[in-house]
Amino acid sequence: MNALLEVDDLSVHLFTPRGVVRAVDGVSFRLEAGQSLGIVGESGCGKTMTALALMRLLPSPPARIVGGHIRFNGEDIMDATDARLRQLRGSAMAMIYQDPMTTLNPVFSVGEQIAEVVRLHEHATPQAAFARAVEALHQVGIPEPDRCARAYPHQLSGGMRQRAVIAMALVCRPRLLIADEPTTALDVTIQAQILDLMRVLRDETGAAIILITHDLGVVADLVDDVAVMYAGSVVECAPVADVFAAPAHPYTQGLLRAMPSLERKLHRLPTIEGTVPSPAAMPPGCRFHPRCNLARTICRDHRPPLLGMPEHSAACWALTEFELSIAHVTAA
Amino acid sequence: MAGYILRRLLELIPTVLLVLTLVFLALRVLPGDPAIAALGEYATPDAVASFRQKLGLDQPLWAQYLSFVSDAVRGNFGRSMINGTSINALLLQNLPYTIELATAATLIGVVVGIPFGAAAAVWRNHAPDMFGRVFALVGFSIPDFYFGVLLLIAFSLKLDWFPMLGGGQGLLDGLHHLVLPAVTLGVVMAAFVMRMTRSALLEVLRRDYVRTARGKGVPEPWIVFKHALRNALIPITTGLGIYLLTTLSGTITVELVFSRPGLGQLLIGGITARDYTMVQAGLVVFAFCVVLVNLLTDLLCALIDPRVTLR
Amino acid sequence: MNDMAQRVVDPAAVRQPRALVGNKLTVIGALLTMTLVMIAVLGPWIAPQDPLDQSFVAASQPPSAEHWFGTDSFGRDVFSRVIIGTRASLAIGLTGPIMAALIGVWAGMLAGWFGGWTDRLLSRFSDLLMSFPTLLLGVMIAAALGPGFQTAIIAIAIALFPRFLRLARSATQVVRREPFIDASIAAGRGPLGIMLRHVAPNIAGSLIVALSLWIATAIRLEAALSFLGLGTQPPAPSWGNMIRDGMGDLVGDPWPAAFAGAAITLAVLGFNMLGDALRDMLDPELDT
Repeated sequence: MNALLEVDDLSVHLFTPRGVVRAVDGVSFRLEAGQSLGIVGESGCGKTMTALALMRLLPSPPARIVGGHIRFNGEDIMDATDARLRQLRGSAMAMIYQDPMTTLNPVFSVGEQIAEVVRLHEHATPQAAFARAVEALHQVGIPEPDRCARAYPHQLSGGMRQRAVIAMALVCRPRLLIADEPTTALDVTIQAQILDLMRVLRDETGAAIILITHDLGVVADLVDDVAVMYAGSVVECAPVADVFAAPAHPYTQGLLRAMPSLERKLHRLPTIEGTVPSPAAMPPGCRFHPRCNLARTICRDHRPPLLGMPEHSAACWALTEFELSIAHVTAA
Repeated sequence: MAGYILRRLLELIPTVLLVLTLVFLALRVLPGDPAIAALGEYATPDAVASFRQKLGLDQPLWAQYLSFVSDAVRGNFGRSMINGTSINALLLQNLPYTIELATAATLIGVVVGIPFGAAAAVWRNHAPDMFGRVFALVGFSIPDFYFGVLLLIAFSLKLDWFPMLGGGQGLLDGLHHLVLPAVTLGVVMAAFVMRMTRSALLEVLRRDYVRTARGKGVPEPWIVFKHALRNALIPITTGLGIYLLTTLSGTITVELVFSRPGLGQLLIGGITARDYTMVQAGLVVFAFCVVLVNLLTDLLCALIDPRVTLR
Repeated sequence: MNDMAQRVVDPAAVRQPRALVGNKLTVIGALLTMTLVMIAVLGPWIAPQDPLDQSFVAASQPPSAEHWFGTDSFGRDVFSRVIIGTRASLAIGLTGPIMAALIGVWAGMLAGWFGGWTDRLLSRFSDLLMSFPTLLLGVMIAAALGPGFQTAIIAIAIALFPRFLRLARSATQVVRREPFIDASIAAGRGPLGIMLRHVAPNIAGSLIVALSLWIATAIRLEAALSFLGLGTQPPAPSWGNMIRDGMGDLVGDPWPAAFAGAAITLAVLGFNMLGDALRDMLDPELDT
């Protein structure tokens, strides 16, 4: 039985004038049809690069996929021809981007841009495509969708623009929707609205969703599984409830401790000591070990692979399989 | 949109006034008596006096200024001081040749420059780009009139494919006479347009919405010509407008190279012959052209960029 | 594209960008301009013959061992005329922009410092001048002042000074807003001292680039004005008026015009390349 999306040891390198940067270093995960996965990590951990790699949208002068496999519906994305990729993009796989202010083309109306997706992938007259665009805008909760479709992006607010981008992504009913920090650039109140919208759309369309964010709170209500990324690789992968209830990897634990909460009275928010390693001084072995209070000798020399059960795994030498399985059971 | 045009036209008025004032003052700075310059050193005092009276040069400065401005605005440029012909008639005869030349050159510049510039951007750092850099470097450095002389020597004098001088009579002959001058100015403009297109396109191709278009499955040629170029046209048009002015003033020298009738010929002839009124008229018309081109460029930009007028 | 994880692995696997091309341009540009300056300075001593020496017998001859560039219609040696012409073209081509820079930077600093009406007046005037093509301005000023060497210099200076004004104005405005400026004023320093100390170093780089590029423009402008008969007057040789003279007999004797024009092109090319290369060095973000 093929999963909808299988990512296997994906590596993306950035070739810059000052050296080669390993942006994504051996990332693997699976996504079943209709399921949703949250990829969580701080800035620079490689999550956006991973997302762009899935659609082969990496900016090609600096970035290149140097290893691994991506299989969508059993089809190898890495080997796909440009023509095949163009067929898939927008129709089977679609993406929502971070900054709604720059995602849309300023010289075309919103409706035109959405209709373009329809005309590219389905045989439709311009009028029919435009009507589909209006309908899509209505589906994402925009009032007066007809007026909005005729408007230009600069005439809409940030929240409306992001809704339009979501409409554009969903109009051809993709099987996979990748959302790269869809709420980061928006006001907090608008954030909540967009997340609500995504919840509704997830239920209505049955599309698989990959939600990328640096904010753990965002994924809580929205996804089935979470993959936590740090410094280019996945350090923990588990169902969302397990991640919150019993995080296995020290980094995940640190992240959760650092979240402000109404229940705990704190004088200071706990932080994870140290900083993300700089490219020139990447620690050997486990990338997190300099900041980790569970670090042992082995952590310094050998990078841990993802260990544990398929449902809940973590890349940490300090955890035995037993501890991981316990974590899974206690969370259930 | 209509409101925008109106606003821009209103803003023109102080500029036009300023320009007229500058031209007026510039000519009054000239040392020496225009009457003597026109009539010669041995003219009698009576002749000089009547000459000055005829041209209103005996009036106080502010009166001269007022009559100058009111005449200019109404398009009445008076008579040539040298041979008494109506300047308006001369302008009507010669201006079309200049406009023709500037238009043809612009057409060549755009038709050649934009595709080459797009090629240089898309195949960046490869052959088309390298060729483009060299072409641009030479195009920016060679004086337009020298290029015209070279073309003249090669294609007219040696090969005899094109006539050597004049503006030509009638449509076909006129076009025949137009080719070399237009190519002279057009090629130089093409170099500029090409660089402009290349950098504008490169800048636009970096934008997020181009990535969005790829993510929708838009084929690559569409991305360049529909999504990117349309946005790139905004800075290209602005640059083009500025360069059009350079081309316009380039007609002055090129008309001399090819002995072609036009506004530049009138102006330079007037300066050399000390034809006061002719020079005045020539400068005013040129200045008006400059103002007009600036306005047209702005309007064109407003047409292309919906953000400008729809606020 | 902020999500760039940074782990440098192997600097040796780096691809070098086209830094070498840039270096070539600098070298060629610098060589060309230096050669020209040398020719201009040493002119009378390296010209093999008197540029004003006419000879009926030797008129309109093609290049030969005796006359490397041939002779013009008056029998004058074209090679010598081109060499001496370098002096006129470079003298005007350098003086004009330098004057423009002096006036422009000064005016720009005033405008940027005092703001208000000073700024508005100067800026409006400068914008108006800039909206005119340089040749047209030059012609206008030549019409007002009469043709000649000095006219060309003044015409170029007036045509170019708005650019320098803009440069200095925006730099001064930036500096003016800095908090330490208020401290300096409170400590008793005058605006002149502050401007010299803080603004000047900031604009030095852009100024050099601008100067180099505008010198190229100035040389072209001088050539055009001389070609139109409004600049350097014959018989003094200037590249522009050599082409003008040469127009009389292009069929029989294209050599004066051809070589003079080539000289103009090389001079402009040299300063353009120098300016481009300098700009690449000082402003590497611009990909032009």
